[in-house]
Amino acid sequence: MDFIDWTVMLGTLTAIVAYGVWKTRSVTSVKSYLMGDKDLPWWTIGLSVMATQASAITFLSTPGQAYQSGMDFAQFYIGLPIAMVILCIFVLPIYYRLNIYTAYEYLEGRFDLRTRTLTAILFLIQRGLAAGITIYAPAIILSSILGWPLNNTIFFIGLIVIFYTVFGGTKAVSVTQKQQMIVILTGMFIAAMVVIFKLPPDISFNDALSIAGKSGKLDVISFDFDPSSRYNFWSGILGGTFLFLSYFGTDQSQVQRYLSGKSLSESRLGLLFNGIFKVPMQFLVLFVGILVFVFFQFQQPPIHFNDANLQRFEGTVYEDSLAQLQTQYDLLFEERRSEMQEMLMGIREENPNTIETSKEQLNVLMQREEMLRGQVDSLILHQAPEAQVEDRDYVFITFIMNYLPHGLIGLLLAVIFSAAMSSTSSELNALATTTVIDIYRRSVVKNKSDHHYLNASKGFTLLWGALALFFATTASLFENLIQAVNIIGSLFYGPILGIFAVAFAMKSIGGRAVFLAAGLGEAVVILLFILDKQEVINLEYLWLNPIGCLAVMLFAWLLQPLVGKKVVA
Amino acid sequence: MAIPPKPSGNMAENADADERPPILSSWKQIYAIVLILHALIILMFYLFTHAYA
Repeated sequence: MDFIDWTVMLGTLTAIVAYGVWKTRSVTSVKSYLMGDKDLPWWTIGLSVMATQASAITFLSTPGQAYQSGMDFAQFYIGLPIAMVILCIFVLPIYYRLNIYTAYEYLEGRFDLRTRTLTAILFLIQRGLAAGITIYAPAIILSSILGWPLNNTIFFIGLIVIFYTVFGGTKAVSVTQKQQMIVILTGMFIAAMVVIFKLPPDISFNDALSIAGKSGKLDVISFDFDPSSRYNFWSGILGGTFLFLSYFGTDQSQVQRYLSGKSLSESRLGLLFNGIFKVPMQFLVLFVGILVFVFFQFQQPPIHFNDANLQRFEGTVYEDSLAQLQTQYDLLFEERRSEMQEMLMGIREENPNTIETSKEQLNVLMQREEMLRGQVDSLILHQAPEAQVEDRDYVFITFIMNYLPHGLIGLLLAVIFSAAMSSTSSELNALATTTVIDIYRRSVVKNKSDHHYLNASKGFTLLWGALALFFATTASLFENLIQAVNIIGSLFYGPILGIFAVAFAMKSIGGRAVFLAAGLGEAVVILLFILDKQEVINLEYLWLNPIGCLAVMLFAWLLQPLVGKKVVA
Repeated sequence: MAIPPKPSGNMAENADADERPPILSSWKQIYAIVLILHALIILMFYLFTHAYA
């Protein structure tokens, strides 16, 4: 990074934060702080919703995923537009009519106070831990690549976010997210253009697509119903719709984004904007990864993308072993590049025999390359058993740092920092809102002045920001913390969704039945989790989400005749 | 803080009647356009996949 990159990166981030602070200088009431005066137009809501979902890991990891496994991940989002339409028809009108601050407020009207409080607390535990990881996960990659100390990177991201989120509340989050999304989309589009121009002069855009296609990287969609494959049309349309209904309908970090709309129409249009543009945006991010893959067919990639891992070998007994592997890798790459040229000739001449022969040869060469890379991973683990050898997340940032012109490096780093800040700010804002509205003002300190609750909102935003920084700075002390947070999330997410599913879809169920059902559903989820840990059963933790949801619905239905009064819908 | 009222059963329909979309004559038409656009994107993905397979 040189002076131009620093200027572009810091200039972009400073401009966004200054704009957010300036636009929210007149926030003087709780409503204004937590609901943004309800004056946001649909395009701000749409960009804000997209920015909340797109974290820095989205832009670091997704191109690397396409580089390694192709574009089938795009199918994960196929259910999203359907979920947006369902929410616009059935959920938004209810939230708007009740004029609520949080999704959990609705549960008090529908059931009772304890169901609302329980659900809010479950959200706070889950999202509070996740906020730390939203900062920690990109910081560990950026600190490794930029050579910054990890804690400095964490504080760089965290303190800026805490500053403008505490200062301007939800409006600051939304207006900065609008600018951040514009920077993110512009940066990714420019990155795609630069990779195309960086391809060898004799490789056209169509050649690049043909190479990617023949390498099996452009299988965007598959209609084969195969439960063992992670991404296909059917898992996207069924599982994805279910997942996005729960995320956008019940997670306060998203609900708060569209509840600050000027009107029901603006909020609906904001969500539909997300429904239309989210899938093409993910396609663009994945496509950048594909272009980087083609680029590295003609320009030798590093044997391992996380350079910090390779630097561990300097001056050790393993240095010679690494050098030997590197020599083999250099020779292999030359062989692969010439075979790729052969295949390209076959494609241009439309000669299926040449294409097929080259593809087989390339598969063999790629397998040998994978073996070499595996040997490097083993060496790294010998040298440093605690090292993370998965380097997929480092592919795109390596390309940015080594091959983009100065100025654009700064812009792309601004993209990644913007993404980290946009998702974190939504989380802090939602955590503070839920704490104040669903717990503090509702059950702890009632009937105080508006000014008191405004200060409390700022104080809780600061507190959650401090907690997120604490989790982020101590995350490296705990092995597999990210996985632990995901597991904790899965322990709670299913029952939360179950409570909302009962509220919306099972009108005859009352508060007592759903509260007991939530407890029993949570017990079932925890029991299954323990049985899996004891190796009595074999159940991936992601399955706990639908099981928790369906368990709450089933228990509520069974318990209603026993414990509940008939609810008039 | 006021306890929010219980939602009525036909709330979604009422809210729909309150707010007209800024373009077209009904929300149903807008939802249909979103879903048709989505179907077209899926079709383009399918054609893209087969063009370069």
